[in-house]
Amino acid sequence: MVVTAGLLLQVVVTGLATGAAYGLVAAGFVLVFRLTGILHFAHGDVLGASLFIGLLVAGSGNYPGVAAIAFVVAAAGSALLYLVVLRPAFRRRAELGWIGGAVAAAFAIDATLVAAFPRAAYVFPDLAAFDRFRTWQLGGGASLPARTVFVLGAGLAVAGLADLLLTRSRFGLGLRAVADDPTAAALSGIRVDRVVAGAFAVAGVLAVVAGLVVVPATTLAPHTGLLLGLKGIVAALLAGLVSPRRAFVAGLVVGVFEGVVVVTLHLPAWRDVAPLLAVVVFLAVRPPALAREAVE
Amino acid sequence: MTTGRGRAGLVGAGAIVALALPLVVRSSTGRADAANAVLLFVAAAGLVVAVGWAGMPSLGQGGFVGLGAYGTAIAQTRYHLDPLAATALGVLVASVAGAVMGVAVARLRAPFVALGTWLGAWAVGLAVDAFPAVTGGARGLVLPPGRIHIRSLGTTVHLTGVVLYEAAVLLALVTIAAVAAWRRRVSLVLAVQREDAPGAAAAGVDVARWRAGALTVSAVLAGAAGALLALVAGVADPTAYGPLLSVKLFLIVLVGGADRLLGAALGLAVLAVISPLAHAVGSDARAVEPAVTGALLLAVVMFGGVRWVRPTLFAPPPAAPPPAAPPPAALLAWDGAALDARELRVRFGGVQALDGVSLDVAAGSCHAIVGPNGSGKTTLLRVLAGVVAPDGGVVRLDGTDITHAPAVERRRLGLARTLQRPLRATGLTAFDVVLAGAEPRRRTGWWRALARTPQARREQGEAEGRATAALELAGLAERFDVPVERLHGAEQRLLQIAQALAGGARILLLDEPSAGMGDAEGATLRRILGTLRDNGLTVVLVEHDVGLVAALADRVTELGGAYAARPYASGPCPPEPSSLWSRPSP
Repeated sequence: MVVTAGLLLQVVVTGLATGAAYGLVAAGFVLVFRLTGILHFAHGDVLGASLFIGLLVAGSGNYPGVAAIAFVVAAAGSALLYLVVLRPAFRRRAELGWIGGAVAAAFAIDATLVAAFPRAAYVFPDLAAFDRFRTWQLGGGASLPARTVFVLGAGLAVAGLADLLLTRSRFGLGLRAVADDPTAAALSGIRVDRVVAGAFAVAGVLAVVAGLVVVPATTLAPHTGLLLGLKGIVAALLAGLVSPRRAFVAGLVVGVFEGVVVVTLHLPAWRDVAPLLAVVVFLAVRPPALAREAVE
Repeated sequence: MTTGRGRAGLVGAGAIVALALPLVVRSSTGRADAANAVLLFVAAAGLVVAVGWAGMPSLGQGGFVGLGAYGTAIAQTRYHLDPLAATALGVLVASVAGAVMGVAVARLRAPFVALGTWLGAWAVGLAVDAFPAVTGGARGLVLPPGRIHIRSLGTTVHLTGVVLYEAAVLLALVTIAAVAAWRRRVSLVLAVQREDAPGAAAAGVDVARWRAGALTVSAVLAGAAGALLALVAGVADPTAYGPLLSVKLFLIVLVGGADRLLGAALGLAVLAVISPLAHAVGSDARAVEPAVTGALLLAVVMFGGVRWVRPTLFAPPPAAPPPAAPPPAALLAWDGAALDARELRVRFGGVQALDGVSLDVAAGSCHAIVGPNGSGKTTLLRVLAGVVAPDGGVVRLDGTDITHAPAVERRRLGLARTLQRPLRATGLTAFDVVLAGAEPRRRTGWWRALARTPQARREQGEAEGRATAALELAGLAERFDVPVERLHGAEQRLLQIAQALAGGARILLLDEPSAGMGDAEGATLRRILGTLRDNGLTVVLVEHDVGLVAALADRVTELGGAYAARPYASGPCPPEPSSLWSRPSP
């Protein structure tokens, strides 16, 4: 296949749209990590479960209903996961305890979804009938559907809103205080547990936004949320887990990389595997400073 | 408490019962179930080494099992290798993947070890779906009926359920023997780095290498288990391996107590009890089983496991043998080396920590480094020890340029540094920690410890002798079996000196050894350091205690504070504190 400029543009913009979704997931993952040092293994599974519960309760024709329920479930579920499963071990500094709790939760959610929704794919409602909107022609047979533009725009807008929330609001100020020094934050009257639970809830909501914009383009499968979660974690790691903002940008990069690998190199099978292998190599060659064992 | 002989008898009796099981269990499904349980135990035993001993929470075990299984299956179905060669290939694939993963995560903190291995396990799980042409996709790869033709005997062995079951039991016995062989040396070194990785690194343990080794060993066992699992099932089944198996194995090891094989067996027993509960819940037991198992494991971790899963649960490696009569101090190295540094520069962001510092330490002398807080004393020691790379300058040991030699290499050359803080070594005794300090002088590793070669045994004896001598010299001979966390502050510092001596130190870099010591303790330290110097060791001392410096040091280097006109000044140590320490500097 000849790679024309139009096709390249299509690949990049499509990749950016997918990447915006990965970026939202990654931003939530980094937010939680910076606040507590906890790696949210069940991030993607909570996302998947929220979408399925929304679908189950509101029905497959009701986008606003599905979205509302998914938001509530993700926020509450994510915060509860922290308060009930992770916090007890985390407080005792039992690292293996919270790792075990997090992966056990991920395992339980994933296995429950697979058992409860045995079909390979479920129809997911859409916000609007994007198929009837105009499709921009880019020349050389390449095109840009309205849906892609919507996904990218929604992703960027929500990321911008989240950024404002984290940098400008009172809640964001509390978050940064806890991230800097939880003890000092507690001494100055910040309710640390409430702030952390709130951050878990925000992470869950951001992930559900990602799911709500990209899933309608395809279908919902038991592993959809999990795969989004893995891609988000990959992006977060590649960005060095420094800030949600950088993690979002890394998500865009992963999305574009994926698009290039799939389309230009004709390697669709590598789409999900390649980012995971790449991140393992990355850890071996240049582990992020925050992930490294200290040296004295 | 079981004695060594009692334990061996127990294992022997268990082995006979296990090997004879097919005489009782007649059904082929019963035998396959038994073989599967034995193989899961082998995979869990691998995790005992990685998680329990090394403190690396690996979530990759299911992936390695999968690589072993698919490696074997692909070698048989696509390349028509016979089952033995195919099994070897499967184990090899898993081992190489384990080594790569081990190197990748060796330098990471525990949660990131979990994350890296978790992503690796998903890479395996997703690859099975992504490349159906190779892996058979959702249907898996069905293996041909197994036969091994043994030419020398002129006979063909059919891989029936009984043969495979016995092979699984033999693999488990080999695993138990290997773990027993590693108990003394490997588990001790891994425990020391698990409790305090920076401290172990300062004592000369090559932390990254040991950790990579631990993960590789866990992958070898997982690969072997996976290869046999595929042969027993007659199919490489995509639903049987991967991340979910990882989580299962990780949790059963945690639940049982991660540090010992008995814990792995216990965890498997818990799983064996809760899995059948799934059959009571749903009509389609096969689909419901993972969900119920997951929920129950979550409950176990939440309501019981959290209490069990805590760092102190990690039982110490076997108690140290009591030191025999104090061996001659001749076991230790007494040929102090010379150290010199030229124009060292280090910059941390906006702070110029070292600005052209030079140092000449004669062999067998005591050289003190003094200066106000923040003048760069500790940074200088860290540069000399190879922990911080200087932005400029040269460090030489006995005239050889070691500026770019890594810390572990310098430690082997005899350059040993103590930390300002006490070591963390929950559950380990003073002797354990000092014995691990002998690592830089040791040449054998995993393999020779496993084979118990004469060299490995001789080395173990020598290391124990050196550790005993070092404890004696540091005045800790009476305290050898005291848990490290119960040593008081002064003893903690002497312990690190003993560690350095056991590792063949020729130059001691001591970072404020007298900090927090009382008068009596300070006098003991002074006497011990005096003995070491008088016997020929080189001592570089960062100190605030002017009395100690005046009593011991032959020469003094003063580092200037942030406002000093000159970065440093050197001179012979005056008998009394005098001009060198008074401001403004001369």
